[in-house]
Amino acid sequence: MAKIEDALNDCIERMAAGERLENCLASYPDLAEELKSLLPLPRAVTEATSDIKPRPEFRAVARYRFQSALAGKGKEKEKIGVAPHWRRKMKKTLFILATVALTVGLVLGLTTTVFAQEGELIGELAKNAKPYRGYAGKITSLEDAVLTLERRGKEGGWTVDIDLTEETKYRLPGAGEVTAQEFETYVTDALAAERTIRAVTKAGKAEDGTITAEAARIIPKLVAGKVTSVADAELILETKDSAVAIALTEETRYGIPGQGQVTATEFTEYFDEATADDKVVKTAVRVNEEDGTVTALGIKVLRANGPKKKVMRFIQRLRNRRVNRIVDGMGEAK
Amino acid sequence: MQNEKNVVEQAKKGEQSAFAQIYEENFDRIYRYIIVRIRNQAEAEDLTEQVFLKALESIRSYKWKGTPFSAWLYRIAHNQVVDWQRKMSKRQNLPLSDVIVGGGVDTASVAELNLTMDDLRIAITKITDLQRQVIVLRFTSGLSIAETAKSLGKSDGAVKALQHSALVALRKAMSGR
Repeated sequence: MAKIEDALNDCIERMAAGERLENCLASYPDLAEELKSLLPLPRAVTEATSDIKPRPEFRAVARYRFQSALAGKGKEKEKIGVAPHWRRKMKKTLFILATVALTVGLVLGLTTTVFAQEGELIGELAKNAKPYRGYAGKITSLEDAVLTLERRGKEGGWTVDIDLTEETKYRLPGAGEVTAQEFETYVTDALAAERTIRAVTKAGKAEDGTITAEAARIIPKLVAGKVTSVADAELILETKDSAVAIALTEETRYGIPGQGQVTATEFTEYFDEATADDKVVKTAVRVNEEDGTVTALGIKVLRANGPKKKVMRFIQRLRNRRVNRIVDGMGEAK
Repeated sequence: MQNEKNVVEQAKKGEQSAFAQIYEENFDRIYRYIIVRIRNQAEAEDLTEQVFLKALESIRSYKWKGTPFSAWLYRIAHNQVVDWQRKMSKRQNLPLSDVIVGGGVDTASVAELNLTMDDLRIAITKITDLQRQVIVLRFTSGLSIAETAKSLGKSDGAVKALQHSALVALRKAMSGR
């Protein structure tokens, strides 16, 4: 006797191809009763869900943002952009839909942009996965132009030696691109002070097993905790162990759930509305070893556990503002 | 299938119109897959966008193995949903009926079951997430058993068994109404 799951699948596929239920049941008389009760369901599910479609205004905005990302990727490769007719059609559609959305007070969804510093670099590495690999880990030494990283996996830790060359590019948290000498000084100072520092590299592995870095970057230190105040260009963060004062600068970047990157003003406004659960943030920081001051490079609000009416209202206002900006921008472009 | 392979190869080489074609062909079905699973419109929109941005980031690592490209996209979508569910485990979602019911006219096949379209949609929310995944991939997205298995990282036999248990659970959820 056939197994019920095989008979069921056989009948589902035969009926999808146009065969009648009775014919299928005749093929499996011993299972006919159970099959008869189940076989109407697949088609019913198909019909019940076939009209679920994205909102037109969401579809238009999502397509616009995806096209922007695609164009950005194309620029990296110095290639030609998306077919012009697609772009023109999309822009026109977006304008009409955005206007309609404003008129009827619809809310447009805006994408979340992950922006943790190391995440960006890892993202960059991912884009250029061939023939390069990203090696990340704790720096254990930097001697004779060889950077040694300690890596950890399921089967324990190991070290990897990465050769640095004259072509290798270096970046430090908050300082952008630096020279090899500056990078080396930073690393040796940190190791001498027994500070834990981690790096991520873009490196290629030769057939003989040697690994050479095209780029190396120090991963910023991350601090997570609950925000107790945001004022006077300073954020007070309550961590597990203590409270930390973190300076905010013009370079600091901010991200909130569902909105991606926002301005400093919008970030402050968010915290005026936020409840306790919404105040948990992860901050990429630069620590000044001389005076101990901590500066924020990027702050990301972690998602809260539940919907907060006040915060949702704020996000809605923010979205409306952005829609206005999009429409204003299009008006200017015309 | 050969045509799809060519389009994917073009997209891997950075041909933007090829990726735009992939986007257009799959956007609605990925959205449908996500919203039926998480039952939250705003989040489904957010996650749908993320799926395609992730695909754009990772397409160079994609290897053609003879299964539709959509199976790979569903895999990304599945990972996005799992991440979201983990983060939002304590969040109370809107019931599916509040999000996607409405606008549909009861069809003959639904009426045959002595149910309404709304009954069926609500019943889909009553089964387990894994069962719902199989139902959505098979009957909403139209994937074959092999493609569904690829998307879920399971064997064909396991998917057939899941399909059976999902339909039994769905039938039971509906008769309990």
